[in-house]
Amino acid sequence: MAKFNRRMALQGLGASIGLPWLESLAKATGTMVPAQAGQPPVRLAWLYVPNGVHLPNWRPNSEGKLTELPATLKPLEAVRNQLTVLTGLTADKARPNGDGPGDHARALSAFLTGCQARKTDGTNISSGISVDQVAAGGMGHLTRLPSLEIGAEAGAMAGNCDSGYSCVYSSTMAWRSSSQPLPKEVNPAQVFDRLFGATADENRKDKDRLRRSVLDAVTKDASSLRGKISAGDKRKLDEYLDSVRDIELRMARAEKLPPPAKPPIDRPKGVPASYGEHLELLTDLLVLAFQTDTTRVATFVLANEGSNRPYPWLQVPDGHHDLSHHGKNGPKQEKIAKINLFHAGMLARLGTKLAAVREGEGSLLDHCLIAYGSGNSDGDRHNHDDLPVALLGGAKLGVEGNRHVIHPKETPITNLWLAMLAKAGIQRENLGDSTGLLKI
Amino acid sequence: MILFILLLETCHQTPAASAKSPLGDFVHKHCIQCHQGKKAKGSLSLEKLDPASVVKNRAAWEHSVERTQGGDMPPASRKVRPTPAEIENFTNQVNGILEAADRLAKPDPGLVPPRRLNRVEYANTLKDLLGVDFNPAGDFPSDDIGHGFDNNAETLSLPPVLMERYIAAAESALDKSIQLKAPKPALRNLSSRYLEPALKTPGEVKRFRELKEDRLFQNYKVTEQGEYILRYKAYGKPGGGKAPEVAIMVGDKRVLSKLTLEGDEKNPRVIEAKTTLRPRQHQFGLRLENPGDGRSVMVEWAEIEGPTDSRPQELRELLSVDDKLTDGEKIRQILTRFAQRAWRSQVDGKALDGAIELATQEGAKRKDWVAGVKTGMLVVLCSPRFLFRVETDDRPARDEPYDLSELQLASRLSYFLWSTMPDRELMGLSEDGRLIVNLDNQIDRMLKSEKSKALVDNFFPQWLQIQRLDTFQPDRGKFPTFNEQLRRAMKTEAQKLFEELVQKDGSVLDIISSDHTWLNQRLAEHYGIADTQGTKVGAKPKTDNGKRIVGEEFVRVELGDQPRGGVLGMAAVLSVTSNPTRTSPVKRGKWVLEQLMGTPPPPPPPNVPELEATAKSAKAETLKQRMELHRSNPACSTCHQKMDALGFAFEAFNALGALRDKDDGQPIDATGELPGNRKVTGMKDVRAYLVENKDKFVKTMAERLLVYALGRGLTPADRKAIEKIVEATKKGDYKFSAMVKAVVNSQPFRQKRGREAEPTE
Repeated sequence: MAKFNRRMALQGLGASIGLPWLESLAKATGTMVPAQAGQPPVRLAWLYVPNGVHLPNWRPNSEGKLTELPATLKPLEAVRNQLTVLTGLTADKARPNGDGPGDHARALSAFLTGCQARKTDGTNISSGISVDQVAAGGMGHLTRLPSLEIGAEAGAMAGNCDSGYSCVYSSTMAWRSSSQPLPKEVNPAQVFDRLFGATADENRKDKDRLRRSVLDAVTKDASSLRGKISAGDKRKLDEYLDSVRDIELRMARAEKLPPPAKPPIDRPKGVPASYGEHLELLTDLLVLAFQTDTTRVATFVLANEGSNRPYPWLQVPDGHHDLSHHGKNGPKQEKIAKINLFHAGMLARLGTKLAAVREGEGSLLDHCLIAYGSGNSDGDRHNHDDLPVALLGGAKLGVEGNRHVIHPKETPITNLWLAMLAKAGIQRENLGDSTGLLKI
Repeated sequence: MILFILLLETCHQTPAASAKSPLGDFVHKHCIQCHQGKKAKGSLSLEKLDPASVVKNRAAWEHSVERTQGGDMPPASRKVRPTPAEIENFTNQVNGILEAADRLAKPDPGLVPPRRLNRVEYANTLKDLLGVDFNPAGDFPSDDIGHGFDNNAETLSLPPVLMERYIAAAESALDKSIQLKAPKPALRNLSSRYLEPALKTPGEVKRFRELKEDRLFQNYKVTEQGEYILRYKAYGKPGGGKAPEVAIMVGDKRVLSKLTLEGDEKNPRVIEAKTTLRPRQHQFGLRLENPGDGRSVMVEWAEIEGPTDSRPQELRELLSVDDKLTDGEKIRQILTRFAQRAWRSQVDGKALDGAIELATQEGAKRKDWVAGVKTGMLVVLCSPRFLFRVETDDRPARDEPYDLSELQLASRLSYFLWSTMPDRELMGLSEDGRLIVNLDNQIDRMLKSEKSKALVDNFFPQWLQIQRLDTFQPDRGKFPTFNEQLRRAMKTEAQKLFEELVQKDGSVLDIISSDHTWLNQRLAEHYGIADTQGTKVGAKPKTDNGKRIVGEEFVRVELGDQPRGGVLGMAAVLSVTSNPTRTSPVKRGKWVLEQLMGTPPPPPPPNVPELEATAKSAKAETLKQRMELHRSNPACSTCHQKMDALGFAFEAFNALGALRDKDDGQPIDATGELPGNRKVTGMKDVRAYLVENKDKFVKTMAERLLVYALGRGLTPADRKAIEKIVEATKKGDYKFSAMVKAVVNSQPFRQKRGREAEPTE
């Protein structure tokens, strides 16, 4: 009976500190963070807004200490001591670099990867691993979920989304590998289930036991299938096996972790009709995810790149993307500024809520690094240098806050991502087009 | 592939542009001035004219031909214009070279990796497999689009989140559906005193009611199809030396069973008959067959039991098993049968070993073989053989094309037309090797089936981008009449056209031009149409056949001289090609060129602002004037001339597709000029233009349908297949079924090849 099978191997190894697959992943992607007792863990999040911003309302007047918050960032008054505005960062791989138009698709796909998206409408999608997934590789083994991907707009639309680029690019921020975009969870109810579903089901343990046996059996079957399909087809099978393995590891991990936190809120009913409420709900769930230490890594796409959503409740009935081609038209720029202000309000909500949670010697926000920005600078020019970027949190991580830092032109934004990883204890030499570590 | 290697070698020997060939004549006269060297316009250099170079730069040359034919190359600014004969010659030269290369090229069905079932396919398949209808895919992440469709093999990835959902969905589907033992059937027992014909005083019957002639009956409404048992408790009073004969009946004519009834008051008998009943009102009765001589039947009660098995047919068949078998044998039998259906293929022993082993363990552990079967089924539903459309191959390493097996073909066909697994008829035919000989009949059957709604819902709206309507948010300030009801009505109108094409085998040309449409009251009001003869609101009807269009229901409306007909005049299309606050002639023009003509304008050059991005534009009053300004930029003009001219012809329709005569207080100018000095005014001219160019439209549609059917983007190797499909469609009188049959019979649909060919460059 005591047959030694794959699953036992997984369980056994899962019990010893490092999991084999994650270790090898960590070798490839960076270092792994050891679990540290007593210290509140570092959390990392990236928030994305599309179509650039109205820069005059975004940029502080002077370098150094923030004297007065720029108009767009006004909602962040309450957390300004943990706010850093960064100027001069560039997403070079969002530029055409010979690939022609498609600045929106490239802007989002390059933002966290520092990689040039392969221009394709479907065949051989390719970008690069994104910083959040590097972080998940480094510290995902310490939490129930390695990472959380959320957004307020679903991925699929008809046709290609931007000048010959598949919609994947303009709707996906997180890339598990160069060929595997991670879809966002849009429905708050689903986000809730993902975070806390495990607590709701009393038969969870039984189900998990069965699930593991089932996955064991399908893995066997999938392996027997390998010899019967062509080499090109194996890629898809490997993707399948990779996902199965990921779930197995997660379940093995969950057994070693303390029982999941009881969610302090009820399960949301679904997607709220109002976009504002939708964003608020997702923001609140993100706070809960960090608060309960269900995950330490998150990405949040407030709207897909190139989104043409109108904001009628802000007296902006026009489509956002249309407006972003403002041609320096004053009223249009004002409307864009309104949208920017609205989005920044979500960052403020997130920051304020995180700041209100006590953790260790300080607040939860003190142990978070929240990056916020767009891969387009001015939507009219489609330029990808001089990006609007802000960093929130990190008071206990040595981030000074209440500052405007101007970096030399063309500083890769990936340098900032490496710096965030470093603060979380993940040493990594490079990411995409990075050239070094940014000082934050 | 050898061809390409040879080409590479000749590349090094390519002579400089030669003016001696007929191709060279044209290029040197009309193209080379702008298209040569490093500064070649549009990065298009046409210097190398030898066949090998032309084939190598195939896309560029095909594009050049299209632009030249379309009249927008050479640009209008050049005084030397090519004559039509010259253009034709140029076209033939280039096509001749490309076609020669294609003929030499090995036919190549292309590579289609295993396709993961998309959300729709997953839900449909599970429903057909288990016979249980619920929406298991509702919370799956949305599928990414590739080459215009959400069934693209490459873009259908399987992230861990989705895998987790698959497991949960399968668990819940099995929990909800699998009952190995039929639930106890419903039973209705009625005392004989309440049977018909009704008694004046039912109380007079103490226990038995006497039947001396004719019959006793009851009315009963069957709600579920299935097997029912009709049962009576009664005994017979003999007379004339004979026992009474009775018949158990359905209705007053159909006899289920006839028998001689004996017994006595102390020993009444229970008699019964079984029958299969359809859902409707039925009459069940007991008739005395040999009245007279004092014979009678004494009836105590009547009983109806059923349906004896209320589980869906599919499940019942899947789960039926001989009770005498051991638990292990039962598990094996059921799982093998289940896997064959679920995996849409023959199941060899090994593939199922894991499932059976686990099911047996689980059954033993829980002392319940049913629980074991359920676990085994979970394995089957989580296997890549279920989640993906895997076309296994005995010799995966060969790169020669080969025919799909009949089972594989059945699966491709079914997912193409129905977005679900093959039904029993398709499976049965292909298992017997008779699918290919019956292919055309099967396609006809499948298109007529209700399941072909999948094409209506999935292919057409994605191709024509009508799905964008779901997220379209017009400015409610400018368009106060817009509401969800209107959004739905817009969508339904388009669906009705597609339904007619698919299920009634309409002409594909109805898409670009049609004399009728379907409207309900809401949409008719939106269009300003008063009746089913297309009479304008407020106008005097030309005939008195017209009926007013009232209520939610959609009725067929003859369009007469209405400026609509085909998708071009549909609010759905006119809306999705608009911005929230205004129409977008550019988007509309681009939509026509891209979706209907298959000649998408190249994307705007990088860093050129879209519209209204020059300071001057603020002063230009009308949209049209602003766009003309935009076009004055030479970088924009070539493509925009075409798009805008087409788009402006739609200007009589506002951003919701309603007719208007003013835009922002300015009169509408619905004129534009197509390349070749062709003026178009209004929708009618655009339609006429499309009808004249119907070959292009048919080709575009054939391409999209093939992409959808194959789940991959097209390559030059598919050119021949496309040409054949277009030809067959023409021959088939443009019937939709003709196009579908040609797609199914095309080489890329019928064949596949194994490994990736060696890289060519």
